This record gives sequence, C-alpha cells and structure tokens, in this order.
Amino acid sequence: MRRYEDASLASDGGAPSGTGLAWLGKGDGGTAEGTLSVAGLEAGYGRSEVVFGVTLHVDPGECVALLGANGAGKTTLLRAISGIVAVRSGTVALGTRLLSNLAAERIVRAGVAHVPQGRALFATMSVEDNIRVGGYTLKPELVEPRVAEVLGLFPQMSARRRQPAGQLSGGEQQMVAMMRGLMIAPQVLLLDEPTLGLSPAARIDVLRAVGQARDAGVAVLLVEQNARKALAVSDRCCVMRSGRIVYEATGDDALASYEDVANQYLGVGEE
Amino acid sequence: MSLHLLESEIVLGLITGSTYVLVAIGFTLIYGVLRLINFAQLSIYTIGAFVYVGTYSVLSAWHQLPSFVVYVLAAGSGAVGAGLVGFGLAACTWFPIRKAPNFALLVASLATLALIQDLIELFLAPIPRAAPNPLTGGLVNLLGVAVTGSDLALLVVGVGATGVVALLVTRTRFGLALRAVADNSTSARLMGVPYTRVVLLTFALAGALAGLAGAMVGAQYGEVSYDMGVNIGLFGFTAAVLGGMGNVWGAVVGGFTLGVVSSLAITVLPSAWQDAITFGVLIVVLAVRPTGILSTRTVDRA
Amino acid sequence: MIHTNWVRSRSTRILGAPLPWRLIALVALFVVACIYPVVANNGFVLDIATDMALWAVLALGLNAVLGWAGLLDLGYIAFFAIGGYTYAILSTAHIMTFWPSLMVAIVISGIAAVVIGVPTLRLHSDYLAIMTLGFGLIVYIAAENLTITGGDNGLFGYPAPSIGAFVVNSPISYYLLAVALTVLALGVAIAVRRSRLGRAWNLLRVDETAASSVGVPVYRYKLYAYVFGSIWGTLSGALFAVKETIVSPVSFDWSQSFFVVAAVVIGGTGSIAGCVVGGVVYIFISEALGGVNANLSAVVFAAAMLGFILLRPRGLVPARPQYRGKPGLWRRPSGGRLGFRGRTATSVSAVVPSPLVRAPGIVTLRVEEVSVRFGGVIAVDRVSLTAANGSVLALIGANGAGKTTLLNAVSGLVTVRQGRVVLRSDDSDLLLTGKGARARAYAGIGRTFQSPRLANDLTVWENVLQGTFVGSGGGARAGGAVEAGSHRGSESPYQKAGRALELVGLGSKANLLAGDLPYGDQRRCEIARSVASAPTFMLMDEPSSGMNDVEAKGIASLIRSLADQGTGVVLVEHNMGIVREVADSVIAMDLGQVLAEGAPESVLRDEAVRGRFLGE
Repeated sequence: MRRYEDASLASDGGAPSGTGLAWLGKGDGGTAEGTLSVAGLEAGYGRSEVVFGVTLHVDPGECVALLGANGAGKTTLLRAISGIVAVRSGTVALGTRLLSNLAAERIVRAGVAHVPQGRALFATMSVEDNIRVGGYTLKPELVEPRVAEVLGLFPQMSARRRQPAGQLSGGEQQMVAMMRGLMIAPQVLLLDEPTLGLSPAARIDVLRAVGQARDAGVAVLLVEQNARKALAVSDRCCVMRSGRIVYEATGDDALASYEDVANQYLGVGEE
Repeated sequence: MSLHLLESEIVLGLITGSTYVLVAIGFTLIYGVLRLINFAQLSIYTIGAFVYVGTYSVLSAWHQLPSFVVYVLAAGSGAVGAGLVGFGLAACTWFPIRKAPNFALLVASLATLALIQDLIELFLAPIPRAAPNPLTGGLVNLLGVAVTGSDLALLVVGVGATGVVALLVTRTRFGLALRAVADNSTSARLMGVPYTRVVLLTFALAGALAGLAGAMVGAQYGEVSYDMGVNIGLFGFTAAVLGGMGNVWGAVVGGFTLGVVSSLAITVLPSAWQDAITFGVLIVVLAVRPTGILSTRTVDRA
Repeated sequence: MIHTNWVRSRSTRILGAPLPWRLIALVALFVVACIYPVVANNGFVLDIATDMALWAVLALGLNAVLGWAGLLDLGYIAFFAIGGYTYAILSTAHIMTFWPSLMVAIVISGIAAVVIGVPTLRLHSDYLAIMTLGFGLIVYIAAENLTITGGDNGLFGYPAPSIGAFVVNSPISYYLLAVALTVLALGVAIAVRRSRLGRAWNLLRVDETAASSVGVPVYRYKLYAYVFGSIWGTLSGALFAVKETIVSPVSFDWSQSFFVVAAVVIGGTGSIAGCVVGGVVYIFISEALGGVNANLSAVVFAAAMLGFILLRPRGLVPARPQYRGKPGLWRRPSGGRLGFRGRTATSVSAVVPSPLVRAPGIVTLRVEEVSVRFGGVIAVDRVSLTAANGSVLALIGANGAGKTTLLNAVSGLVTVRQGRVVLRSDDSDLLLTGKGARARAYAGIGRTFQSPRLANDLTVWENVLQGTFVGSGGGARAGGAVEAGSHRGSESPYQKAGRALELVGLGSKANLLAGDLPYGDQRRCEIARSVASAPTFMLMDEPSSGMNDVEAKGIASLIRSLADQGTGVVLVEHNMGIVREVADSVIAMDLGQVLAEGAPESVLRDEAVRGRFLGE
C-alpha cells in the first residue's frame, strides 16, 4: 500500500519513537466517526473570499496532502473545517455529523484536532501545560494519563516538560504542538505546515509521527509546502490554487509525475 | 526618623498594600484575558462594601452568632455578591459589544462605573454610612508594631486571597484555561476552550476580589461611601502597572510596594497628597519601564 | 495636461444647483437659539444658556481629542480648572487683567498637556486614560489644598474683564461672550475637520500604520490633538469663572470630566453638531432633574451614556464623513471656489488621462545588501535589488522567505541593521535607511497592505483624500528636485483624489462608506489612497489576496496601468498567474536570500526555484 521514497519515514522504521500511537485507535476520540467530507466549501475573512468551492474527503486511516503555494487558501480551508473561520456556503461533515454550523468548541469535541501554522503555542506556559490545554475537552480524570501517553510519542521532550514553550526551538515546538493536538485522540487531524522552519532531522521526526497517526486510524489532512516529503507519507494529494482544488492524484501517481504537480503549484503551462 | 517609626510605617504600608493587591489582581486578570482596563471594577469594589454593611446588619440580629463570625460571613458575602455582580455586568455590558473597538469597551466600563456609583449615591448613601467592625479593639503585636485586629485581618485576607488566586490560576482546569486565553485566545479556542465562558468567569473572579477588598476596607475605616471605589482606583491601577499589567504576581509585588512607598512618603508630606504621590509613581513607571517590574514581554503599543 | 475644465465648469451656477437645505436649517436654528435668550432677557434663561454655550465649547474641545484623534481623556476638566483659577488668581492679585491671564492660562494648560502627553501617547490608549484621570485628580487636590487657590472655599471677588470701555458683568454680557466663544469654537472645529490635520486625525484614530504610511506624524499629531483640546477647555474655564464670579473645587471634580466625555458620546462622537447638542443636553438634563435631586441627573446621564454605547454608539447626531460633490460652507470638496455642484460632474469618467508621474526608468529604488534581524532570526539576509519606476517587480517565495519583511524594510516599518535603501535619480541619491515610514511617504514611496487598512466609517472619497497628506504639504522628493511635468504642487488635494479615484475605477462609488464595499473595491480604494500622493514607487503586499479570479484580473490590469503611468511597483505575490501577467521582472526569495531573478517565465521554470517552492 505505501511505497516510501524515504525509508526513514516508515512508521515502524526501527527508530526509537517510544510506544508509538497505538493508543490512538482506542476509540474514545470523539463523538463522531467516519470520513471527513468537505463539499463546495466557501469561506473567507470579513469581506474577502479565500476558498471558492472546495470539495475533498479524507477517510479514516488515510493521509491526504493538501499542497499549494501561499495564498492558495490552504490555511483558511483548515480553519473553516475547525470552526475558527465562518463557512459561507458548502458543508463540512465528519461521518454523518454536520460540523459546518458548529462552534469551534463543539467541533473539537467531535474529534477534530487542528495543529495551526507556526505552532501557535502558549509561549508563557510550560510544555506540560500546553499539552494539558489540548486535553481541555476531555474528562478531567483522563487528562494526566493521556499526557503521559502523548509524551511517550516524543520522549525527548519529556525531560523538558516544565520549560516555558516560548524557549524551545522550532522543531521542539512543533512536537509540542502535535502532542497538544493529539490529546483528544482525534478522529481527524488537521496539520498546517508542520515542517515549516524545521531542521531536516526534525522534519523527519514530525512526518514519521504523522505516518504513525495515519496508521493508527486517524484521518489526516496535511497541508504542506514541502511537497515531496508530504507526498511520501500521503495516500493522496490535492493541489490548491487561488482557492480551488486544481489537481488530484494518489500519492504514488503524484510522485511519479512530479513535474505536473510542480506546474500546477505555480500555474505554469497554463494560458 | 527612628527605626521604630520606619518599621511601623512599613508594616502599615503592607497592610494598606494588601487592599491595593486585591484591587490590582482584579485589574490584571481582566487585562490579561482581554487587554482591557475595566473601570467598572471600582464600582464592584463599592458594591462589596455595601453588601458587607447590609449583611452585617442582617446577621447581627442573630445574637447567637459571635461577632467575629458575622464579620467573616459579611465579608464573604460581600465577595460573593460582588462576584455575581461582576458576572452580570460582564454579561450585560461586555458581551454585547465584545467585538467593538477598545475605545467603546473603555467608555462602556466607565459609564458602568459612573452609573453604579451614582445609583448608590442616590439610593443608598448620599452621605457615607457607618460600617461595623468587631475587630477594632485589641491591639496585636506584629513584628514589633502594634496593629489592631482589623489591620491584621486585612493583611491575612490580602495574603490569603492572593494564595487562593495563585492556586486557582496555576493548578486548576479553569486557571489553565484562563492562562491559555490570556496567552493566545485563538489557539485556546482551537483547543476547545470556551472563550466566552472563561472571560465571564474571570470577570466574576475579579469582581469577587474587588468586593472582598471593598468590604475589608469599609470595615477598616468604619465607613462606606459611594465614591470609595474611585478613591482607591488610582492606587489599584498603579499597583497593577507597577508590577506588570497582566501578571498576577506583579499585582502582588506592586500592591505591597506601593503601600509601603506611599506610607513612607506620607511621613514627610501631608496626607492629602497621597494621591499625587501615587500619580507620580505611575508617571515614573510609565515613562521609565512601562511593562512593570515583573513583566518580561514588550508593552502593548497603541 | 490636466483637463480641469470639468472641475470648474459648474462653479458659478448657484441658482441652478440644489441648495444645501440641511445646512441652512441648522444655521437658522442656531441663530434663533442664540437670539432667544437675549430677547427673553430673563436672568435664569440667560444663565442656563450661558452654561449651555460653555459646555458646547467643552464638548467641541474634547471632541478633537476623543472623537477625532481617538484619545480617551478622562481628566479634561483639569484644563477647565486651570483656565478659571489662573484668571481668578492673577486678577485678584492684580497682576494681570482678563485677556493676558487668558493667554497665561492657555500656556499653562499647553505645558501640562505636553508633560502628560509625551510619555503616555506612545503607549496603549488605556494608559492615557489613566494618566489623564490622575491629572484631573491632582488638579482637583491642588485646588482643594493650596492656599493660593483658596482651598475649599475657592476664590471670589476678582475683577470682571473689560472689552475696551465695556465691562463684562451682566448676564447678557456673559451670555454674549459665551456665544462668541462658541461661534469661534465652531468655526475652528469646522475648519480643522476639513483640513489636512483633521483628516489625518481621522485616519490615525482608526489605523496608525496606515496613517504613517501615508506620511502622517502619528505621535506628534496626537500631541497636537491633546493640546488643541486643552485650549478650548481653558477658554471655557476662564469664561466660567467670569460668569460665576467664584471658582471653587466643587466645579472641577472628576465626575465633571466624565460628563464632558458623556456629552461627546451621547451627542455624537466626532460630530461637530453632535457635540453642541451633547453640551446642551447635559445642561438641560442637569437643570431639569437637578431640582428634583442633584444626583438624579448624574444617574440619568450615566445610564444614557451606557445605553448609547451599547445600542447606538454613534450618538444622537452621528458624525458625517466627507462626501464628494456635496456643498460645504466655504470650500467645495471637489475643487473649485464658491458655488454649488451637483453630483453629476463627479461621475464623468471621460477624459482625464493621467499624466506621467515621470518618464520610466528615471528613478530607481535600490536595496543594497540589506539585512533584517528579529531577535536571533535573520529574516532578510544581504538582499540587493533594483526597481525602476515604470516597471513592475514581483517578489515571490515560500512562507517565511522574507518577502514581506523586505517590503516592510523598504517602506520603513521595520528597521534595517545593515545595508541601505536608496532612491536614485539624476545621479543624486536620497538615503532612506534610518528614516521611518513617514519620511518614505514624503520621498514618494506608497504602500498597500495585505488586508486593506481603511477607515471603514468614512467614505471612499475621504479615505482617498487622506492619501493627499504628503502632496499638499510639500516635502522632499527623490533627489530633492520636484521634476518638471510633475503636477504635485499645482493641484488641490481634491483634484488629486478625484483623479486617483478615476484611475482605479471607483469614481462612481466615491460616496459609499468604505466598509460597505466588496473586498476587491476596498483594495482598489486603498490603492487609490496611495495613488493620490502620486508616489514614485508603490509597494504592494499581496494585492490579489482574498479576491476571486475576476477581481484579481482587475487588480492586475490596474497595476499595469500604474506602471504605464510611470510609477514603479514592487509587489509581493503568491498568485503566479498575476505575477506572469503583470511583472516585468521577478525575484524569488528563500530563507531571506535572493534565489533567482529575471523574467517571470524563466524564474518560474527555474529548477532551484521550483525545488525551494515545493520545499525540497
């Protein structure tokens, strides 16, 4: 099913990644289940229009890469799914549960976790506290055990758990952001450029975790600019440009015809 | 100035400082989550004082209750009542205009302050009313200085309330949510934190602290008046700025420091100038280090 | 050549064009209201009317601070006190008579305003509120406790002022003097509102970054507003002292400052007529309810203020933005002298070919080895580029590549640690590094932002007018010389704004509120604002973001026409279609450095660029 260009991204690639994400599949992830489906979505800020009729879906256990240049609307799309940006028209649904008219709070409880661009951690709070906030919607007695499980995913952060998040490096912050997002054992994981500004080694760690999440049954929508690496860990890809999906392919096909992807990105070769 | 006089001024300064601390924490909590200076806090302070007086007179009809218990209950109900009012006010005067520019929110909080103050003046206290206090007698020796039971109570409450707030903010789920919202409200919402509810509860907490301070100060000076809120406003605000607006520990440091400084200054200048001195401190802080003593981040530019 | 006939052609038609009925009615009402108390010759009525006039002046003064510059001043009554006490003290001691002591009072207030303003105006607006509150308190305490001010009892028995042989000591004379002051305040307020200063205030209240990019000295203008306000407070305070024949602290406590704010808010923040109404309403309610209970009027007023802020924030008489083509008192907003203009003239879109700002290639914008650091991060790493006027340069790159930072560095919003930014023309260089956004605006650098920064409550017309700030005041141009063929000095701001509007195609929408426009038009409005200053270079940050294809194409052709006019355009873009259509040359950036530069097609096909773009 998966062919990796880069063996280091294989989720069971022998690297010491702790217990992995087996606990994710335990099924308390949220109140809705199934495929994330977006249909005809239009969204924007204030009076601006940024997303013009996007339709895509992500199945559980599938990772879809959402590629495209800046300003294409990828971040806005994610924010519309997680409820931070209002949906103007179209729908977002998780399984049979309609999400597009819910408040952000409820969408989180439904099992959608959004790891924002640039991490957006709580800089003045410790790593631990950041992760705890991620578990805000859980039953209080579940929080501490879950924190321990989540820290097992990136054991190197365990030692830094009390440090203020603002003092960490980019890669470390990204790991914390992912841990924070995984606290609710989500059905859907929305990742906005998780490898942005990271060192190559950190990128590998992050993308491996993405693969693990996918393998544990989470539906992952991965927004990335780093196309090749993203394609290596994804089952399908969609390229967005100017608020629309202009190209779709399975991961393997996209890697094979990479030139096409690049052209779509830049809008080259169109008259 | 003799050493003894210095010590006693310092101790007295700490005592008045504890009221500043309570008011300052209220300001700083709201500023932390909303970046807004809530003037209405001062009227909630006054409400707390009046609730104290009212409750005291009701409860003291029960002669079985020792007066100390009445005192505690009355002060407590001052806090609770003020907390409820704080919540209610936020729901009515913040929530409807929460997306308006800062200017409108400031004006609204100012108008609320004026309205409540004037209503109190009109219906409850055109002239100041007496506030009962069972602890005025009995001098206690505190660090070699003689203070009344009431003074001691003030200090204890100030420190105690600070401790409670600190625990609340650092160890409870609500405190976690509060800190998250204060740090980055969008991220907090993304995690499922109920933003509006957290803000409203913060208003309630700040109100409760202000009300408690009002009750204690009213008891301390033996009278409550409609304008007592405005009188302490400058001190509370300066204390918060001095320690670092948005920082709870800053409010504590600022409050005690201001209390001591102003107490020492009064030994040399006439007491009517206390406000002027505080204002002077404020100007100096804003000019030299606007972020305050404890804050590390840059101040919000206009 | 500018075709100006269409601007002046209807200037002499008075009878044929619509008369400003609203204005005439207001003036008539005002005149009648002023005359009535004199005719009635009733002491009580005169007294109230005098108070109303003084409060109208107070409200007008605070309006400039609060309603126009957006500064929350909670200690305004302090100036009122200074005015009254200075006169009382100086004339009791027979040091000076009324008029000179008035001057002294104004100076004292001005100094106080500067002392308070200088440290606080740079900070968050909330801090100013507290500082002014404190100031008000201090003045009150001083009044109560100093012997020179008579303490609690105050001062009385000071000599009345005289105008020539005429002594001002009767209710009618107080009233007339107060009316004179009110008329003066009104006149000044109206003049200021229509002036460059007033417009600048309206912009900096809403968005300081936009204001400085247009050339407004934000901090200095805030200080001006505060001092301006202090003058009127002082004047009415002195007159109050004359009229009351006694000054005591009770007239100057904090709640009075609050009531002035309330009068402005209830009457209409930012509205001249509104403030007069607010002052009148305050006195009316005070008198009407004061008889019942002194506190009742305070309660009513506070409740009214709260009610208005929650339900009708614009007040009783909302401020009106400037409209294009509507007649005003003595200046026509669309150019020309006295006379009235119908609306049709403004929608004539024929003619007006925009003259060349200058021939292409004459001025170049050079960025030389510029680096920008934020803390430990190098956002821009020794970047050099050259842009010539009349051509379009596009900056592309992934997120975090440094494009916007570079743009900010060139427009002066971010400080440059190393390197220079220079404007070169005719072999003379104008060094821009080290100067802020304001200076760049003066040098002819215009800027638009990722999201349009407009004053949403003002019309398109007024927003664009704000862009004329630099042109009308004069200033250094590139190389220090105003080029021949540049029309900047000879046109009125109104003409420049009109032409900018036509260029972007918003001429017919000039009188709509900016906040009501669709997004694409808002972007055009922002562009028009910048064009109105006839910049040599326009720096545009993602001009097509948030727009659909149709709008984006429209913006692209607008950018092209700007370039054809002789303006140099440097833009950051993500939409490659726009880039290919519009750019003469492209620079691709990554990690703060220049990756490739050249013609659009070649850069976009470049292997390295693609690699970085796709994040290899």
